[in-house]
This record gives sequence, structure tokens and C-alpha cells, in this order.
Amino acid sequence: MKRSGILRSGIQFLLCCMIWIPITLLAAASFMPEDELIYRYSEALGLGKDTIRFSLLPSYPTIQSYKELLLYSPGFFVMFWNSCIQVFPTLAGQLMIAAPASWSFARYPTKAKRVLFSLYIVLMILPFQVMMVSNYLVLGTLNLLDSHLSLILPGIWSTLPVFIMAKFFEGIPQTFIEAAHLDGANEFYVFFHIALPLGKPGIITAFMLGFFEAWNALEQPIAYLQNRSLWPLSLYLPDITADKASVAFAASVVLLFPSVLVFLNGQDFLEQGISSSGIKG
Amino acid sequence: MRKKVYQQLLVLFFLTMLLFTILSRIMDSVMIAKVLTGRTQRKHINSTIDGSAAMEAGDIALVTSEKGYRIERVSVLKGSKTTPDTELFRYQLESIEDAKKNIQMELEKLLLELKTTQISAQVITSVSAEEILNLEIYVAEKELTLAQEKHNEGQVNYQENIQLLADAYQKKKDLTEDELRHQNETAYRNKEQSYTTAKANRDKNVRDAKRNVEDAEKERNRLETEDADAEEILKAQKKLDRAQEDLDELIDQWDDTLDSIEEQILLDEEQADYIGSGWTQSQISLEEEYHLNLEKEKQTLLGKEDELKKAYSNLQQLHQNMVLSQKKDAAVQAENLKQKQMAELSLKSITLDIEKKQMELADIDCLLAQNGIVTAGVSGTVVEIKVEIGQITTGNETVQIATGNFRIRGIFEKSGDILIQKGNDVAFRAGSEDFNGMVDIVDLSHNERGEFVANTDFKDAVVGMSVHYRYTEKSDIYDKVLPLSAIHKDIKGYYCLTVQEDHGILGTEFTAARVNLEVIFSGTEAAAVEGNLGDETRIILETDTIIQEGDRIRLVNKL
Amino acid sequence: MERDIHMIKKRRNFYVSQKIWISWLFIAPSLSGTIVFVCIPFSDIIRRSFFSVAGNEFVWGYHYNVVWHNQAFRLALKNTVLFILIGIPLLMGTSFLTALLIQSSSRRTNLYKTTIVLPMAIPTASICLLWKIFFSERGRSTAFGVLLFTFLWKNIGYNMLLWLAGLGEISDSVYEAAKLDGAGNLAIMRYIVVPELKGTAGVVFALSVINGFRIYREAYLIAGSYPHESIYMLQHLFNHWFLDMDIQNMSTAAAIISIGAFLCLFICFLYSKIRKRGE
Repeated sequence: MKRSGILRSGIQFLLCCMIWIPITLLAAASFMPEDELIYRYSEALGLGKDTIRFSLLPSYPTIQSYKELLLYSPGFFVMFWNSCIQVFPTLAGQLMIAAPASWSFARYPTKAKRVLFSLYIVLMILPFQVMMVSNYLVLGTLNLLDSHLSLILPGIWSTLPVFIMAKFFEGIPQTFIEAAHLDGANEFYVFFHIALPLGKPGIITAFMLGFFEAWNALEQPIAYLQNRSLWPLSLYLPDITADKASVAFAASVVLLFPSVLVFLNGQDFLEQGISSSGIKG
Repeated sequence: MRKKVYQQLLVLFFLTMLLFTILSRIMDSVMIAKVLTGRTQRKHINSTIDGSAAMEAGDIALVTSEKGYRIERVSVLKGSKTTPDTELFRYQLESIEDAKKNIQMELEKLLLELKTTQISAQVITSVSAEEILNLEIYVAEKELTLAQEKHNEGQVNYQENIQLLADAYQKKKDLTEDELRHQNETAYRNKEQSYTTAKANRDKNVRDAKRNVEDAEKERNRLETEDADAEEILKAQKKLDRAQEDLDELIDQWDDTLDSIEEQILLDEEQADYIGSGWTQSQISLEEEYHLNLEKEKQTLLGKEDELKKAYSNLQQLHQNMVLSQKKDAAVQAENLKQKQMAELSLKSITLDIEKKQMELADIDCLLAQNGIVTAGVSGTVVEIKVEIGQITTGNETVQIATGNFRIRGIFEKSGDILIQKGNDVAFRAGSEDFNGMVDIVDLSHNERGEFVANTDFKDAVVGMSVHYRYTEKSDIYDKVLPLSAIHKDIKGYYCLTVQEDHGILGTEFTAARVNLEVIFSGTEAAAVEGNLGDETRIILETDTIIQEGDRIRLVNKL
Repeated sequence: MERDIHMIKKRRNFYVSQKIWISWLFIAPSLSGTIVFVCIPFSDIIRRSFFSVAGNEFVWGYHYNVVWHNQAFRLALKNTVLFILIGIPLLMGTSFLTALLIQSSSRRTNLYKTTIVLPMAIPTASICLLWKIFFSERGRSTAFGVLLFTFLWKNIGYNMLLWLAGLGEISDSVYEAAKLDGAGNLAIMRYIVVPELKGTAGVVFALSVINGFRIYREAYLIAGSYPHESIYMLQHLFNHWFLDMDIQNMSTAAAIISIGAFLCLFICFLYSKIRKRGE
């Protein structure tokens, strides 16, 4: 038992290393001055062939990259706020649209609903490629191309949150609802005052997953946004050229802050939400 | 609790982003360059060159002073206008007269010199060496004849003498031994005789000397007994001593003489004893003597021969000398000729000097007639006066008068293709007056600037005055003209920066793009260019900071 | 009392009918949007795939033929399917093992959990910068492997949570009972754990597939628009067609994919139905 315990700890440790090391490398690189970056990672930045020398700590730490990024790259911020404009309304919309729908699926399962639900699942799984063209045409017809709405609207009607939230709503005991009914509540009341509070984990989970999805969205902006002043932040790094290499690393670090913070904030809900969504197959 | 922290962190993050957004915008707007833009134009290119120039005198007439006079008065100033009759300055009359006297004296000197030179121009005849040599040769020939005669004589003598010597030798050889001995005995006896005589003389002298001594002694003794003066005693003593000394000396002398005679006698005795053996000896010596004498004769003859030879060679030498001296004579002749010519030349120069002096005299007389006044002789403006009152002139003092037209000398910078050239009409301004001038000379040898000299009719100026000039030139119409501020140059050539619109992350961005240019014609403010510029292309004319290709810019209307 | 029950029944009936109406009301916004943004366009796509480019001639399966024989399409399809086929089981397996690992050790579980789940919160763009470095280091031949690695890296955490939740549902009593019966660890695994987790497995599967298709992002960020052969995915192809505005091909390919997806799901559905019936 002890040996397996050590082995177990060893493997766990290894796993943790595998996760922390890349992150640390990234953070370290963001504090490296440009010449060191070139010395170490030149090939990765498209600067020619040279051996890669990894380092967990910068040799000459500097916040030059951050200064360059935060003070001298107004483009970065434009993109940042673009991302925010595209992500948060999407999430809000998702909530407003998907929450009632998933509650409906959970609470009133009829044959039709089951079929519909299955459809939703299928739609959820279908990759973007399939929908890409059709979306494009629709958006074109609606004259929404080249605007933030071209990303927001399709995002709101994503079926993933429905799935997640439905799974969780299913986990709310019937008894609560019964009690509410007895107290004279109508469906709306039930929805707003029981489902939503109790389903908070699920909602937050859906929110989080949706956030990660939207914050990293790559295919949609490339396809639907021609106007570069509307680009979200996820396109900043691919767009960066070799001469701004140091900024790339700093940008990576800055980029992951909101993601990680959202994650940390909602971590507990995540576990709860997930565990509930796993109940029923 | 942790969750609260996370929430706060999230909020903080967004706030920070907001802050940095604003900051980055501020930085951007501060750092972005502001530019003025414009388009190419189709127009003339005006070029203006202006600067300062200085008035110079056109033609300058120099009035030079004479030498050696004192200036009594200077009658003009710098800038005075003159006519041909204007008095410039006047000399002191006395100084002129002094000078005149000097010149007259010099003239006389020269005349004297003339005479002497005339004399020295005559040719001096001299006895040539040749003649002398001829005489010498004559003499030498005579000597030769004489020597020949002597030689002949000598030869004859020689023969005779030889014969005589041979005879004498023979005779001597025949002398008998007895005769020889007899001769020797006789000689011996004579010697004895002389010895006896000598001895007798000796005895006599000694006796005399002794007697002196005794006398002297007696004298002394007498003096002593008579108690005479010590001095006298001393004198007597001395006399005594001397007599004694003489006596001793005499004795010695006579002894020596006697001894020597004795030796001689002994020697002769010995000789007499050796007669026998000495006879052969004397025969030998006789023979030797004979040979010796023969030799002597021979030598004499040889000597005579030598003399003959000498006389002969002397004659030859003289002949050679003759040739040499003939040559020398020729040289001397030439030399004489040259000297004659030189003398003639110096005659001529002296004559010229005399003439010059006479002319000077004439000048002075002229000057005197003018009262020593020097006039300008031309119309113009006095530019410079180098004569002073009281100065004694050296002949180098001048008064410069600017006649004719003024000239203006100016400097211009070479910029672009515009240069001031000969024939250009340039506008000048002096104070409040404007006038024109035409460029006559242009000097472009300096790297960055050129000099020009222009002629002008303008009279109302002073030499050295500084004036402004402006030269404008209007070129042909060119299609694309840009101000010079818009044109830049680097290693690759000329270029300008144009505004390029980009649609980027920040919306519509303007960046500076480079367009290579070729400058066709460059003026001082604008230039005509050729390049990939459309009519509507916006070109960056001026910026508030230095920008390069690719920099972001902001378009403004006024910097 | 009877009157009360009657009242209750009446109310319930009322509620029931009301419920149904309301339930549909709740769904309405979602449904309408879905129809507008998904169903209608999708059907249009299907329609296009049967018609000519200009859109007026019925050409049957011509386009399908063209697309099916398109080399790029084949390559992309092959790569994508390969990736899914390899990656999904791999992911599910590793995340399951990790879940077991975490579950048994109680010390500092939370920290481990947070760490392992953290990668899902790291934006793709950020970490791909680092993968680019790894990629250039290793060379092009291992592109596929790199992609797999990042896929695992990112998704192990979330899947692990799902497994944990599923494992957590199995009450301890069952374990103890099995142990009393003398079952070894492996037997427990096979006969108790696995069956219970079928439901969870389904969810994990679904989510993993979704994320599997999303691997295009990593591929694009690491290797750009024209990557190495082994990681040329469907989305790359679609992007290229998109640039050319080649709607015809895109539509047809989309139809093909969706048909494929429907088929697979149908199979799964059947399978689960059979399984359920079997229970």
C-alpha cells in the first residue's frame, strides 16, 4: 500500500509538472528581453533555425515586453474590448435563451421534447465547418457580416449550454417543485425562484464553458469579420509577426488572466455542475 | 473567502485593462507623428538666391608718387570725387630742388664715368710672350753652340790629361826606395828641428812668465811692507795670481805642443821604419791615386757632356714653350677683345644713364613748373590714399582712384541646380536704393559656395559698401513639383513619404510609405521630381518629429 | 376533504395544460433561433449540394462525387477521423485513470484537481505559442503527436471531473460489499465501476467529440493555414474554400459530414437503446 501510495504521488506530481511547466515557460518567456528570446526560441518565432533552449527563469528579467504590450500597442486593447463585446453579450444571451429551454427540457419531458433534445445534442456535436457556410449566408442576408453581431447571434443560439443546464436541472428534486406548487406558485415563479437559484451550478458551468468557447473563438471571426478593427483578442497572437516576439509572450500571459480568473471564480460550481450533469446518461 | 478574492481579482483585471487601454491610447497619440500633407503641383519653380555683396572699384587708376620728395599737402580724402585736374597732393618745392641738385651731380658723375670708360675702351698692346721666347731661343741656341765647343774642348783636354797622368804615375813609380827614404829622413830631421826650436821657445816663454810672477810677487810684498791700501794690495795680489796662472797655462801649453811634436816624431819614426813595407803600400796608394785622377778627368768630361745635353734640352723646352705661348697669346687676344667690347657696352649704358638722368632732370623741371602739384589725371572717386603729410616718398605710395563703373562682389550658396551665371541680371539694394547689375565673372571652385562679380552703372556708392542682392530665376513649368521639405535623400537615392491608408485593428490607419524619386530640377525652395506619384497621392510635406517609412502618422492641417 | 382533492385535481389539470403551454413558451426563443440560424440554413445547404452552382439544375450526386474524390477533402477527412478515433479513446482512458488516481488519494486533492483542470482555462492562443516552440523543436513529422498531446493536455481535467462525478455516485457500500465478497481491484473495476459509468461515459464521449473537432484551433495556431500533411484538418480545407468563396464544395462537404455524424449518432442511439432494453 505504501509503495503504491508513493507511485501514486509520483504520478500525480508528474502530471502536475506537465501542466505547470508549460505555463511557467510561458510566463518566464514573457519576462525575457528580446535578445534572450531570440537566443532561446528563435525558430519558434520564425526567425531561423537555432537550437531551442528552454528556461524556466529568464536570465535577464525585464518588464519591457509588458510595457511594449500595455503601453505601446493600442491595437491590443482594441482587440481586447472587441473580445469583451463579443463574449459577454453572447453569454448573457445564451443564458436568457438557453436557461428557459433547458428548464423546459428537464421539467417537461415529452416524446417530442426528447426528439428535440436529441436534435440539440446532434447540433451540439456537429463541427463548425458544417454550419459555417449556412451561417455565412444567413448573416449575409441579414446584413450582419462584418459586425460584432455576426459572432454574437450565432453564439447565443449554441446548443451546448442547453445541454449542460438541462442535465443539471434534471438533478433538482421534484419535491421542491411540488412544494412550490402547493404554495401557489406558477411556472414562472418556479422557474425564477427555484430553478435558477438551485440550478446555479449548472448555469455557472454553462457560463464558464461558454466563456472559454467564446474567448477562444477562432474560426468564426476569421470567416465573418473582414474589418480588422473588429477582431477579437484570440486573433492577436496568430497575427503577430516575428519582430514583436516578446510582445507575443506577454500577450499570452495577459490573455490568460481573465480566463483563469473566471475559472477560479467558478471552479466550485464547475465541479458541482459537472457532477450533476453526469447523473443521467 | 477565496472566492471573494477571485471575484475582486477579476474586477481588478478589467479595471486594469481599462486603465491601460486609456494609457496606451494616450501614448499612441503622443508618439504618433503629426504631418502636413499636400499634393504635387504643376508649376514653375522659382528660385531665389540672395545674400550680401560688397561694392568694389571697377577700374582703378593709380597715381604713384615720385621718389624722394617730401609731401607738403594731401588735398583729397577717401571718397572724394576727382576730375583730371583735381589736385591730389603736392610736394614740397625745396625737396624737389634738392633732388634736382642731386640729379645734376649724379649727371656729372656719369659724364666722368663716361670718359674713363672711353679710355679703358682702348686696346692695350703688349709685348707678346712669343717675342720673348724668340729671344730666349736665340740665346739658348748660342749656349748650345758654346756647350758643344766646350765639350769638344773638354774631350781634347781629357785626352791630354790622361796622358799626363799616366806619365806622372809612371814617373813616380820609378822613384827609388832610397830617394823615398831620404825624403822621409829629411822629413824626420825637420821634425826634430822643429821640436828643438819649440822647446827653446818654451823655455824662453816660461822664463819670461816666471819673471813676471816674481815681479808681481815682489810688488805685492813691497806693498805689504809699505802698508799700502788694501785695495792696492789686492790688486797686486791679483796681478800676482794672474801672472801665476799665465805661467801655469803657458807651461801647459808648451808642454802640450811639445808632446804633440814628440808624437809626430814618433809617428814619423814608425813610418820610416815601415818604409819597406810601406813602399808597396805607397805604390798601391799611388796607383789608387792615379785611378782616382783618371776618374776625375772622366767625370769632368762627363760633366761637359751633361752640360751639352742640358743645353740641348733647354732649347727643346724653349721650343715647346713657344708653341704654348702662341696659344696663350691667342687667348690673351680674345680676352682683350672681350674687354674691349665690354668697355664699349658699359659706355653705352652710361650713356643711357646719362640720358635717364637728363630726363629726370627734365621731369623735375616740369614738376617745378607745376609747383610740385600732382593731379588726378582721371575722373573718378578716390578709393585709397597712401600718401601722408610730411612723408618722404619712396616711390611706392599710391592714390587709388576708382574710375569707370563699380563692380560688386558677392557670395552665394550652391543649392540645387540654381547657380548664378555670367550674364544674369541681379537686383541689388543699397540702403534704400535699388539698382541692377549684370554678372560678369562667376567662380565656382569652392565646394559650397560660389563667388560672382557683377558690373553696374550705379554711381552713388562707396567702395567697400555692403549691399544686398537677390537673384530670382523662374524655370519652366514642370509637372510634378514638390517643396524641398518633402524630398529626402538617403543612400538609395531621393524619396518622399506618402500617406498610405490601412485598415487595421485600430480602424483606418495612416502610415508613411516611401516612394523613390528622381529629381529633375532642383530650385532653392522646390524641386521638380519624377516618380510613382499619382495626382491624388498625398505627400508628406512636413512633420513634427522625424518619421521613417512605415511609421504611423496623423494628418493635421497645421503643425 | 373531497372538495379539496377535487380542487387540487382541477388545479393540477389546469397546471398540467398550463405547463405544457408554458414549457413550449420557454423553449420558444431557443427553438426559433435555432431554426433560423441552424435548421433553415442547414436545409439550404443540403439543397445546394444537390443542385448546380448557379442553383437551378438538379445534378444529383455530382457534387458529392467531386468532393469525395477531392484529394484535399480525403486527406482532411482522413486526418480528422483519425484524430477522433485515436484521440477520443485516449482521452477517455487517460482521464478515467487520472480520475481513479485522484479519487484514491485524499491529500491535497483540491490542489491537484485545480491544477489538472487548469489547462481548460488557458486560452488556446496563449499555450499554442509554447506548443509552437515544441513543434519546431521536434520537427514536422510529429505534428500529429503534438496535436494529440495538446488535446489531452487541455481536456484531461474536465473529463476527469466528469469521471470523478460519476465515480462519486457509486456509493461506498457497494465497494465494501464487493470487497467482502472477495473481489480484487480489477474485478471491482470490471463488474461494478464500469457498468455504473456508462452514463457518464456517454457524456464524456459527447463532449470529447466536440472538443476533438475543435482541435483545428490548435492546428491553425501552431502550424498556420497550410500545415503539415498529417494535421491538415477539415476546417483548413473549409477555410481555403471559403477564401475562394467555393460555396458549392463547402455545402457538399458539410452535407457529407453531417450525414456521417447523423449516422454515427444513430448507431450510438441504437446501441444505447439495445443496451437499455437489455438491462
